[in-house]
Amino acid sequence: MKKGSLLMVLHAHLPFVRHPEHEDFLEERWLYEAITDTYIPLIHLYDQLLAERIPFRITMSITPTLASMLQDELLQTRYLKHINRLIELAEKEVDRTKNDPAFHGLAQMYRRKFYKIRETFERAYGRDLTQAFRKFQDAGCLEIMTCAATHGYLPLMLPVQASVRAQIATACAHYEKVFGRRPSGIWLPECGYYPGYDKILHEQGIRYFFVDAHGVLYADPRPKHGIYAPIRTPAGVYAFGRDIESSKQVWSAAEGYPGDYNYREYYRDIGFDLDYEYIRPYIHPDGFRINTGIKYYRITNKTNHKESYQPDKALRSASGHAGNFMFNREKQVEHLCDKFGFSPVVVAPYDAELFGHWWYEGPDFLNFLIRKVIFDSPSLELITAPEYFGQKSRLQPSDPSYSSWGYKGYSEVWLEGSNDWIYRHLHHASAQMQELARDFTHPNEIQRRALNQAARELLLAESSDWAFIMKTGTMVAYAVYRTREHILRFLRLHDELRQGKIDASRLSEIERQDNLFPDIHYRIYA
Amino acid sequence: MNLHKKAKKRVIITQIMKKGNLISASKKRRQVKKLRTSLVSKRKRSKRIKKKKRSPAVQKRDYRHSFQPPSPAPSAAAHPEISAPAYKDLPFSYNETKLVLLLRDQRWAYGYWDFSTKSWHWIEKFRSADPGALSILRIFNLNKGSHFDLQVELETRRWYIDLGLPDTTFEAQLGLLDSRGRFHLIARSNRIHTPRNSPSPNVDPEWKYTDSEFKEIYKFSGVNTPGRGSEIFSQFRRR
Repeated sequence: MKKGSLLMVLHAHLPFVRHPEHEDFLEERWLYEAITDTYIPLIHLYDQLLAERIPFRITMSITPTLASMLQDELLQTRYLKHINRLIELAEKEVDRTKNDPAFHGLAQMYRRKFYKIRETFERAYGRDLTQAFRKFQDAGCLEIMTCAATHGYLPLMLPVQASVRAQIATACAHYEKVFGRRPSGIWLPECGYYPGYDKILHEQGIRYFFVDAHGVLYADPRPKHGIYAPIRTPAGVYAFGRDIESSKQVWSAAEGYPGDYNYREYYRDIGFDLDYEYIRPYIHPDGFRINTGIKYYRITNKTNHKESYQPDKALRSASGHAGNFMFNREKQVEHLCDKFGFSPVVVAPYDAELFGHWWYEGPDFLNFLIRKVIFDSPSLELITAPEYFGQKSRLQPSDPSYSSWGYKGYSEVWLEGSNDWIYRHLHHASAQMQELARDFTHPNEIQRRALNQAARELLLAESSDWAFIMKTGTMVAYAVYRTREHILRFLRLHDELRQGKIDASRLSEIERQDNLFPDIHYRIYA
Repeated sequence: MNLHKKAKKRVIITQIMKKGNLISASKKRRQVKKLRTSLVSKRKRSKRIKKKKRSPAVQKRDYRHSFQPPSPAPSAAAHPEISAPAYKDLPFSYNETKLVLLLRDQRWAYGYWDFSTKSWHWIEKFRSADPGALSILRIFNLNKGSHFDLQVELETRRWYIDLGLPDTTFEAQLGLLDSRGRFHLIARSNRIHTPRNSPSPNVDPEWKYTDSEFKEIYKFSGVNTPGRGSEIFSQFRRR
């Protein structure tokens, strides 16, 4: 056993966005871009490591909404169309840049990449990427966690805890269906924890979760090892605390690795740079420019002057950053182990979409980091939570504090002037759902469908993404629309159930639109 | 006097909070100054009104947060009768009298409330019979068994509340304070518990440590900078 461990966590999440009622829907591109930029590059990385028999250890949460979208036939078909268009554009780009040595190699790089992505998506995994991740989990290299069903922010559900329970129970049941076993760990949305929720996690068989540093540091009684060892909550679940230093090195836009001048510039996309008539077929059907995913520049400096991207230089930077990241973690664990005589675990969690989508070289960084830690490090090893528990006989009992990893460490992002209006509606719907679940003990077939759909609508309204978008100020109209729409659908179903007049054709229509969690059982709210 | 100043500062901060913006320190100072000026003149005005209208019993009370919120006064139509749902807009009211507290962070809570038509009629009747009655959010500190009052506008149906104390259980009551100083309950809230803002004072004897061990491990863990990483995180997402 080495002096300390590194627990790398990637949180993969997208809200449920699926609009069969529209031919082309802008927000569905969030999924297509994440598949192309992050999920498939990560699958390529894991496949490569597995082929080389490198015993890597990564922990990932794949949220139930994301897994549902990855398994959805309509979205799979639409993604295929999307990647085919990208390939068509890349082919045109190879031709357009043939006399431009600075860009021609890059155009060829994108063409190669897109063909490989299509191959992986369509042939290697039969369009269902969840099964790729399941394969890595079954091989013992990837630990997949669940998350709340629709990424509902749990501390603000405190007044109606039936909603917290429903979020967790639905997620666990869905996980079992997708990954073939019950989840061992959970990524609490936005690391949002409120004391007492550990009981609900325990009821569902969850063994561990993550909180931000202060969730552990302010736990009661004082955890002896700070964030460098998980604590055992009163209900017997383990809570790991996030390491701030690791986060800062990667997250920070100014001083973090992703700001390196050799890395690819996210904000210079040919969707905005090229001649309008040329790019017109590949941007939004309504004619406004959007990102295509093909970008030819590197960050270069802090001004608007950008130079062409050079993949070999970027790779060297990624390798250097991986070495630096490992060096710092080694110093951390060596110091703590030598001075205080315990083997610390450093928890480094990130949004998965950072790797590849925002930070193009992120998967290369991970590749270098994994190899360096496994082959070069005398003091550090990669670990997953279940492996960690296998090594430790006893962990300190302590009750974690209310916390989140959002701005200022609590709930301000999801509860402020722009979004506080949603909670009166969400709480009302939660309470009504609970009453429906208690009252309808023997529903007929159509009532059962209406009750299950009401539960789906409530869960969808609770996605923390809508409040987050309202706060950040981009795409606000869509977030407001989604919140309103799901609550209104819920209210209507509620009234129809109470009045005994269910509109069957309308119910079928919304079942077709909001089709996630087909096996949900409304009684989870009882 | 000091208490009075503190209360005034709280009022000012509350007003800024209600704007729901994150603002720079210098801008905040400018806003504080501006609000302080307007508050002083409001206070003078309201004192004159109080002298004319209120009974001595009410004037004696210390309304720590007695102020008019910056939002425009709601019209009489702010609480319309409940009509049949059309499922086009979210209901203004669920025709249910309730008060809910949500914990925003270590010291701030958010409260929202709603009324049934029956309660609203009762409130209107009460206020027309006793024009000096005040709408009060009474915040109970359940650890100490004490409380403080905030004068609120019932029609706004929401309020940010500076609880100010870590590691404490709070509950709130919404009600009307009549001219004789008696509190009439409208709704009682759920309970919330503010988190601690420092490491717990409790040490498990089975998990003892030395002072230097504690200091160093906690310093490494980032105990003085909760949410620091999170700020960076959100900064990145805003890029």
